[in-house]
Amino acid sequence: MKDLKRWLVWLMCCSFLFVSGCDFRDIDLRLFVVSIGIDVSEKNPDMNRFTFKMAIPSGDPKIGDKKSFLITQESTSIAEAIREVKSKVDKELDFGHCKGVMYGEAYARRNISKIQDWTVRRRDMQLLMYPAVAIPSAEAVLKTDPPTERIAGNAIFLALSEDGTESPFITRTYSFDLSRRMLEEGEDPVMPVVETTTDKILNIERVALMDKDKVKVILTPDETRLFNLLDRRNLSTNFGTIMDGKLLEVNTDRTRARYKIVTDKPGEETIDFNIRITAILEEKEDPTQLNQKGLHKIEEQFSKELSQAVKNLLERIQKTGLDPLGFGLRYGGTHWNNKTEMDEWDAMYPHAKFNVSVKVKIKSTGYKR
Amino acid sequence: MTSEQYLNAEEARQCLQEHLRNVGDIEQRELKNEGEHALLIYLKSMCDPAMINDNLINRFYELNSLELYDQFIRSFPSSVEPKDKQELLRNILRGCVAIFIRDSVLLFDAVLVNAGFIQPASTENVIQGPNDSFTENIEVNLNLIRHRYQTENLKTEFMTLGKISQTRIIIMYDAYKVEETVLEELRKRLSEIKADIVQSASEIERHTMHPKFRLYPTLMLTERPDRTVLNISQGKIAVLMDSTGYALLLPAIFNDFFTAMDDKIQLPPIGWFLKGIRYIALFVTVLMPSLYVAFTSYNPEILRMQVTLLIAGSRATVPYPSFFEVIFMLLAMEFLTEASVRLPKAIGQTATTVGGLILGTAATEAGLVSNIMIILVSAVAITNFVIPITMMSSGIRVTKYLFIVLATFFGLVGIVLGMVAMIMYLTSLRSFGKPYLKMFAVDWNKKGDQRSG
Repeated sequence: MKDLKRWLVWLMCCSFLFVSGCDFRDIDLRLFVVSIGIDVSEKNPDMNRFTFKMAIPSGDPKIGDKKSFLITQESTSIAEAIREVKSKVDKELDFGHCKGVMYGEAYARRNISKIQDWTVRRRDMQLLMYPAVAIPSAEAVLKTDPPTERIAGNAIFLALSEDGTESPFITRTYSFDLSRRMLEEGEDPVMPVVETTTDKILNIERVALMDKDKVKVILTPDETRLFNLLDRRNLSTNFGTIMDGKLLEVNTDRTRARYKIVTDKPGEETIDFNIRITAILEEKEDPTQLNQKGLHKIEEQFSKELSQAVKNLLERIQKTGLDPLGFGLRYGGTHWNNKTEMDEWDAMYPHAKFNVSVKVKIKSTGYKR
Repeated sequence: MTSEQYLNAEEARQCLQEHLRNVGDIEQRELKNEGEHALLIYLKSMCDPAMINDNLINRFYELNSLELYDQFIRSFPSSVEPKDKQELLRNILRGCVAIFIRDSVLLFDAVLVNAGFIQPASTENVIQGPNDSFTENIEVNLNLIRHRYQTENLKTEFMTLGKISQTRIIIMYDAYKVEETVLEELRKRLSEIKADIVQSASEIERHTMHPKFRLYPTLMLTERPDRTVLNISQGKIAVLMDSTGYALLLPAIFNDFFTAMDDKIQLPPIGWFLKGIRYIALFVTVLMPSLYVAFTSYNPEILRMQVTLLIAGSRATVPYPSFFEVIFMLLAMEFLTEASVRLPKAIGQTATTVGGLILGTAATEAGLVSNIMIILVSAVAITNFVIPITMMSSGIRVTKYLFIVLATFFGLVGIVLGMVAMIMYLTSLRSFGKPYLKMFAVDWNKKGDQRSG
């Protein structure tokens, strides 16, 4: 009797194996949404147009065919859109691998906070995903099908995450960082801009500066490069100049930008930028031999031109009233004054002066002599 | 030495005739020489006939008087005079010859020894280094150890176990290095064994260790004299047993089961590397199947997208949920392993080939299991064989099923909880009062941790 009971208990325990829980859905019964696009609806002003790009797993990885498909859904909210999309597909939608949110330009110029909030709130969405502004529309960007792509939707993340390509024109932004900056006082969000012109190539070379929840300015590629130079360390890029009508190009090796907010004299606050660049001379049209003096002259010219360019950029950003580099946060962090420090900063920022000093050092002429 | 203490010849003879009435291989030889007369009684199957001929029969006729013969036999180191019937009977059964001279009885040890050659080790191989393994003869084994450990500190204690089998065992230890408490505990536990038959060293393990229900061995069973010697020199105790080619080493900790003798032979960094490999193999073999279940059914977002899509694609044709697939394949592999162990060598090859073909190719081509699953199963099998001691690798083999069950119900969380539980379980185990998972631990407190296990 006792034995029988024990066996029955065992049998019951084993039978649990046959009961798979509600949450148990195998990988082949899931549809992986790899990116989401949001556009404004053309017909209905209250609605948005959501695009979901899903990857279809291929049976044989050796063939290398990647399949994906897009579902577009017009709806008032994204949660609603997902429910509606669910009734159009045969499998469970899984957002665990959703790594990109494309905000169409028109939408991004309005207000992205609703969607951004949704992405960081949802439990299966990764905070490491990449938000970007899409031109002309999110749908068009998601539709592009670069031939170099091996897995559906992968090209856009490889570019945005800089895992694949390393470009000085891409400003890498994570979703968590974007949300943080949208709430942070004294630092404004930025997003990379993804453009598509043909249906094969994605072009990411600009950065969009945002006023908390909407895009205000989109910088030119050259400005984007300088912005990245200020924003991070060891940017690998090139700078060109023309000396005596001949072109010179350097390739940067190490870059470092530091700034100091000087508030010695009230009313004459300055932000002193100190940028050091080590570079290699990469291109030189003039066939004559270089000597030490000539090299110094090149360095000086680069320093001067870059200083001016950086100063122009900073002043341009200042005019828009945005603070993507987080000067305000630095000021607030170092001048704690019982809640008045940010007001002080707001009064100070519009008339603060920029002193930029760029020091370019050419480490190697790239020539073996 | 007073003669009253010893057994009377007449009494002894009656006793033997009574007890060995229906024994076929009993041999009685009467030796007669000019009125002088002696009687030999022995078991033919247990005794060495050459020894009996040379030492007992020939001498009887060479030596002139019975007194001289009596003294001659008594001078052998292996001859005794029995004190009671019990002793007499036991020795006869062991292989002694009872010699009746007038009214006294003498026992002469003439055990037939089938020592055989010393074979190379078969279950614990090393690349370079000594290759002897224990034989089934306890004296030879003792010799193998003594040969390698030549100090007077090496103590040996003889005991017999088993009511019927009367198996001889030897407890060996270095008197300077051994811990007295462990030794006491061992003696106590051995004397408590009540079994009738004790045939293999692992039976001692089973009878002495508690809790009885364990997943991992807490005593080490080895067939290598060099490992035994190494462990004795580390203060452990070895238990040798007659008629088994294995020695028991105790106390054993978890780390011991991941040590091969190669580690000492190789240069130290290579030894560390090999040990590291074994621990990696431990984690792979325990966790891989359950991680597969967790990743395909609960948390596909953890893997890279490439891998996720690959698994999803290769699973597209599979009709059953992931845990079924895993359990099917692992069971198939267990059957294969078990079959190749038990089958005669000549057929063993066939089993592996057929099994390999079916598992490897046919199952995937039929779409019953995914491609990834095949890789996983073979990785699990290979890593399981990396663990050098068979007892441990069997324990590990069972563990992975527990993890699969956990992963089936709770996904990754279940695996993490399982890991915690496993570590807690291992730390709770004791081997003769010694903490089992004492790998990197410092000996803070020697007292208090004496719970037997």
